[in-house]
Amino acid sequence: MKRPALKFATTALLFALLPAAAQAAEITIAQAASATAMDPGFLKESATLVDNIFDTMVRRGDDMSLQPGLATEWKAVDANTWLFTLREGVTFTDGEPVNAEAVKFSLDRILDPNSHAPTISYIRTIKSVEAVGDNQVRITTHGPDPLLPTRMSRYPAYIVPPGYVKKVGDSEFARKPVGSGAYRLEAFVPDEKVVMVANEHYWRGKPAIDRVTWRPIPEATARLTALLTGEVQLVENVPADLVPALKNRPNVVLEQVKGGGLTIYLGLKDAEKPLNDVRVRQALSLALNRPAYTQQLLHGYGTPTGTMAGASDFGYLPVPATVQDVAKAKSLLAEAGYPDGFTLRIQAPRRYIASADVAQAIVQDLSAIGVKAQLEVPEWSVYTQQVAAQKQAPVYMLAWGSTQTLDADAALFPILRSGEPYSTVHDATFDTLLDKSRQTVDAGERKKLLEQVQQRVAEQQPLLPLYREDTLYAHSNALVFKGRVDARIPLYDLRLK
Amino acid sequence: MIEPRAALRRRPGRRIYGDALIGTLLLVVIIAAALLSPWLPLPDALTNNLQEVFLPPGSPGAQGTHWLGTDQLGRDLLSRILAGTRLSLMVVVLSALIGAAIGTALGTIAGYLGGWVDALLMRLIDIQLAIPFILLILLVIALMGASLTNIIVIMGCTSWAIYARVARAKTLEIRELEYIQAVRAMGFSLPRVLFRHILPNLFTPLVVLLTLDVPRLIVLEASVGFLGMGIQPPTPTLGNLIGEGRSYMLLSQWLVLYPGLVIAALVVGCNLLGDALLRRTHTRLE
Amino acid sequence: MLNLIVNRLGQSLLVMFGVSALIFFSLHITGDPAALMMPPGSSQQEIDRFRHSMGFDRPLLWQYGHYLSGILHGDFGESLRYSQPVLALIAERLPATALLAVSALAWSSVLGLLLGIVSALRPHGPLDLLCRLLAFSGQAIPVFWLGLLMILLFSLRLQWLPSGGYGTFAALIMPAISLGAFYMSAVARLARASLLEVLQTDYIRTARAKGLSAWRIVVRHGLRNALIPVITVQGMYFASLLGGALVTEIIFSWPGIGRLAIQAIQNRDFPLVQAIVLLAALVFVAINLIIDLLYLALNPRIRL
Repeated sequence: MKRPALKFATTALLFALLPAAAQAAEITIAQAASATAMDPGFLKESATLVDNIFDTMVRRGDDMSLQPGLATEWKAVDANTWLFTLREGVTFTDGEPVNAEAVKFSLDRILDPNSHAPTISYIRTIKSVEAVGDNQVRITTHGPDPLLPTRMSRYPAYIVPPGYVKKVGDSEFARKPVGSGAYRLEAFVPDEKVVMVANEHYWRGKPAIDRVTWRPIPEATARLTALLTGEVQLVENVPADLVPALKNRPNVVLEQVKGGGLTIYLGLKDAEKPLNDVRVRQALSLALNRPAYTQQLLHGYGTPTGTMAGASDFGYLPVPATVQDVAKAKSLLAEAGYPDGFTLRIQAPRRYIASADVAQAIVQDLSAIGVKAQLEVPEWSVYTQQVAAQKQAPVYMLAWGSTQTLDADAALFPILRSGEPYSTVHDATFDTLLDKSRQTVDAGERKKLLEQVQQRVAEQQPLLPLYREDTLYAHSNALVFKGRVDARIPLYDLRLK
Repeated sequence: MIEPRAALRRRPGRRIYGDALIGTLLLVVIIAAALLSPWLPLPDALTNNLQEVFLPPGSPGAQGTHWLGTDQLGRDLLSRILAGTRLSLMVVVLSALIGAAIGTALGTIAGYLGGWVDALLMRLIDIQLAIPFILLILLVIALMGASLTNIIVIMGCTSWAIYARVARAKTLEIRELEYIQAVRAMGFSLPRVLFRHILPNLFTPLVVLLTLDVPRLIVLEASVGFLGMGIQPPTPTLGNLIGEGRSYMLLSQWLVLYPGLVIAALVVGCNLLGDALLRRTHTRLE
Repeated sequence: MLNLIVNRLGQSLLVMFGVSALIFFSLHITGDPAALMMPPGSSQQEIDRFRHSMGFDRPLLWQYGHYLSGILHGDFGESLRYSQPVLALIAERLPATALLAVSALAWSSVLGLLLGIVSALRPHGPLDLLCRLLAFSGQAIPVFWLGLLMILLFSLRLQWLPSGGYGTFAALIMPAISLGAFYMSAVARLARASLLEVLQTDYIRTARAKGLSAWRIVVRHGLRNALIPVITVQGMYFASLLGGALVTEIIFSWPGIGRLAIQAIQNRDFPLVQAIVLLAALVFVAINLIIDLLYLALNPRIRL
């Protein structure tokens, strides 16, 4: 082949390719934590990434309602049995069909006691999963489980391809996952990046953005700097006190999801004196100036609340936060027999937004009613071990959320039911109400029960809800992005202007 | 450290005194400021004032002028730096002394007794030195919590190996000297020999080692504090001031700048002093 | 000679054994990470079942024995957080740290030697003072502070260099400079001091009197002897290189072993922590062994 001709040919080819490359829509997203593995059944961290590679039978719409996903409909056949009908014609990106067999395989591998799945607690109510024909699945639960459809909308209930998983094994699958979601994995370099490309055959249609790179940047300043220099187009987890750094930057937009974060509360060990007296607990709650914490320390990105459930949760009761009343607090303490106050040990981690500073402010507020609080700020890994072993201080700050489930049960049961590892409450009424709510399938009945629990929390103060955090994202103004209360980032919904 | 005897031959007095003077001056100024800070007319190091966040250096404040500016909670930076220096220095000095005490004791005994005791000590020292200090400290703190006592003790425990090595080497040297042999022949007890005859000879090299070890400990303590694994805020230490300041670099640069300057000044001071002592006393540390 | 080598090897092995025991027992004495690893909301039963499946409830000595026998088969265990063989994880991150370490050592040795030589050639002059100041500041400035200052200037203010990440040369510049600063000054000071000493010996004085140029003298005659302490020091400092790399990797989000180690410690990922510490000890012991042998080669009169 003549040289000049070859040169011309390659140049022409390059020119032909250029416009195509220029048209590919690509973005980079900066996350706070890095993904360690991508097997949705064995996740140890947030499901933001796998949510885009895999699908669930039930989808969570933009309004947080449950929508058909891989299943077009579902119904409760009886108190303990549910029947899901699957969408036809959906395939995994390796060609395998998404059918009842795949659903059974996906759920069984988590339920199997030999696989030691840490996420089994989210679907432990399931007794068995059977394939009925090619596109129907029957799920039998141990007892009535009103939350079953919700469980099928979140991790670990993502559907995985049986053939592929059996062929490559679990370890390989966690590094090179294959799913039926809007995107498929192109590259996964732990602690460095995850690259996803659009799945052209996605059952909802081809996604608008062709390629997405996720970069873990744990340090907040570095995350924001990457946004400001244009290295990334979307940043999750913007700390409230760095928001001023984003002011006066015309190409950057702050996205606030009100109440999208965790609910911070003060846990109380009600078995210990003087916390066993309800008057003391109420006094402690009355001493706190919650609006000051959210206004000053969280810069307004938090909402004082009187309940652990979130505003979008099923069963949410809008309990107003206790208003500060130092005089009443003091009189309650005197009534309970502590006119001169007492000493108290408090622990608070540094993990949540300004939590150590809030703890400081709490100490100051408590001293105003005569309670001398000794604050300890332990390191997170030390603290979680203590809390899980119930070895923490009598008063301890913790956060709880129901973000993925969006049901009040997830926010209440684990921290109010006696015997649960994270609960330091021993109250028979709570136990009865909570157990009953888990048995009731009727939605209206359940709602009433959950509301009763929250009402009792407001009266008895077994723990002291403080405030609900907002989540903050920041993105380039060339990107159309809406933050969600369930903390997911569905790439399918992103658009470039 | 290699002794630059060449330099000594040229202008002995001036060089040593010059360096030592600068070093001592730096240290004295900083330490004095740190120790006297509770009585200086400065705003309090621990009081929040959310009206005065991120003020630049030199701004006036409700409690006084903020010579170095304020941090994210409106606290005066200069007060916090001085308080932090106090605490960091206390931790460092105590742990250096602990390390020196343990190391010297073990090294001297091993050097004197020799045999399997000596061999065992040498292996222990090797094991200790094989693990990077900071990794060791982080491990222990993660396991046992970051209380003041824990930090001082664990930092002391990372130091001992160096002192032990030097003490052992010197003891070996001294042990063979005639007058020690004479003393032993006279039948004095072991502790007596150690305390009255061997240890005094160790004094000088150990002091020199201390002044050279302190800078290393200062930086180590600051690094651990910077990583958030040392003494926790709001109690300031030089390290956690920089660690916290790092989160706010987009909003204020001085939070990171000034504490680091103090660390650098302390290190430079100690190093100058130590070098000068080294040369003045003709010490060999090999 | 062979005896010496075998002896040193034996000692090194003993040290490695000691390190592994020390780390293992100290990690396990304060409790196991079972509760930490289960998602919040897990029941006590599930946590206990998990604990049993991982073998955390067995006697410590048994666990240690199990661990050691694993090592002998090349199995260092699986990371509790990443669910992958620990060796694979380390192998993945090793190139990043190696790149950083080598870059840092390279520039710091070269610049340090240069500064030391220039200083030694005209001692006590203005050039010497400047070089000594430069060298001094390298040792006085903490690694993490230097890194932060550079980020402030070059990333936030000037936006010339990225503040983190991996893969481009631009991303390597600042971390390598921060990490190497300390060694640059150590090398410079040592080179200067030992060169000065060598330059005063009769042998060199004679060469000078004969009229040989200073440069030639230094490079051909002085350096070889002066290098001995410099090399020894490099060995000692290598252990602290990992420590410095730890902090540097955190500041610049460099995906290396140091950052992995800190994350592993914070996550109580025991197998990973153990393996990294063993690796660090191994590197240290190996380097020291090589240095000792080099020492022998350079100057056979020195007894070990």
